[in-house]
Amino acid sequence: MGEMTLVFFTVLSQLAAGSIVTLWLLEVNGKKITTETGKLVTITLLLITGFSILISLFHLGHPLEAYRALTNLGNSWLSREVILFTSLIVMLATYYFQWQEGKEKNRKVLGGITALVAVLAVISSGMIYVLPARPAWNNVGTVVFFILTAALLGPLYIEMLFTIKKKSVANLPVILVSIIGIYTISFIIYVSVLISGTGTEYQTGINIITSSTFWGRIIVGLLAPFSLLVFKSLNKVHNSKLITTIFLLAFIGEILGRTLFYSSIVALQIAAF
Amino acid sequence: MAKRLSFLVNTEKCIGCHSCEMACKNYYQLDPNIRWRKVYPLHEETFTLPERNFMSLACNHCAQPECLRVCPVGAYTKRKDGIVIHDHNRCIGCRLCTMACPYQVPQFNKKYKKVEKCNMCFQRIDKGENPACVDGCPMEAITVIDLNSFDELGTVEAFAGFPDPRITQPSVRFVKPQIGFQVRRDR
Repeated sequence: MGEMTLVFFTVLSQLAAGSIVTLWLLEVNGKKITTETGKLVTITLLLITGFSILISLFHLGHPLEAYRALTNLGNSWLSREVILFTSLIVMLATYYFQWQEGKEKNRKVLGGITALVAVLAVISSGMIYVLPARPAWNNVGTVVFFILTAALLGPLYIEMLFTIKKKSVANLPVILVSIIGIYTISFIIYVSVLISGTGTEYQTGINIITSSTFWGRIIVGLLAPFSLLVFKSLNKVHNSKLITTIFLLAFIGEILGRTLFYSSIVALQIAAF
Repeated sequence: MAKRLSFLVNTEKCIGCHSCEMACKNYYQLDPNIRWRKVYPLHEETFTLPERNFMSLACNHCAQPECLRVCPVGAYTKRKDGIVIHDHNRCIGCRLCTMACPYQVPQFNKKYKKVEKCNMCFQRIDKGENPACVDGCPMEAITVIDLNSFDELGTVEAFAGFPDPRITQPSVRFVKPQIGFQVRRDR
């Protein structure tokens, strides 16, 4: 239960972070986004972020005392994560009210700040797990994969909503195929480095590749979305059912991947005992 | 000069009787599944000595405690004498410290839904008394030392299979087990 709340919190919050960055980038790059679509995207992101934070409270022994997690900002990445995601909620709410005619300039500035807070929040989430006691996490890979989750799910979510609203975004499938490619290569390198290591890194690597979740994650979360996105691009299909299917496959893949992240890790132990 | 208090565990004296564990549990009335101090038998693969050896471990009161660094509520503090204290009232049970400690010292108590660990009986230390485990050991295998004035000759800060002490700089010191004296019948 404890880990599953963290699985859903991290994946959902990264989905929201990736989406807000995508939305902002599209607007500053000249993409015409209607007020209705902008409001719809922002309100759903606000709900997703709020829901993910609510879920995260249940991994605590004392959820009602979670407010105290703000008291060690100087040392603890968990404190920083709490303040950044709380700020993201406030920023998203403010950003929502900028989706009105004549507020384009304010919206772009505020969207940029919101996107920056979202990126910092995802980085802080990753940094929590960069722990010397867990060597397989104690590297840049942890933060990179958290960012890649945001980079995959965010644009997919935006593409899905825009397609549903009949506002398909040109070139996003191409970008998404590239992100899946980068994701796959990074994952192969990461697992190869673990397996070529010794001790807990090696054991973690073996735990990953011998898990059925790993293969489910590869097929459902990377291969299937990749194939369907290539199909979508080549045939220029603007079908909301297809993009929804791709999004759901990628989302399930990320849930499986994050479950594997928590379940496969081997901590340092006193080997003499 | 500030003290740096630590446990000195003499594995040559330890007979694995678990009295230190029980003294700690009894003094703090710990829950059955919680042990702030644990006695471990050493594997023969690590210590290839022809005798049984034991190691008694509690919190190492590290110089760079990871538990203190990661705790979001500041439940951990390090006193001027080096003792790392966990404030049970501040803990919200996020369990990040249980992940961060290389020695798996902080333990999650399912009854209270909070983490707890050895505080080196700082209240007793402040009164000039020994920690409960030190007084409970019939072999005097555990002592409290001040690393800033202790002559470390003959002791080690780690042994084979102990996580790299450079991570947190644990304050614990050990007298390692020696090769046992073997009596063989001459032919």
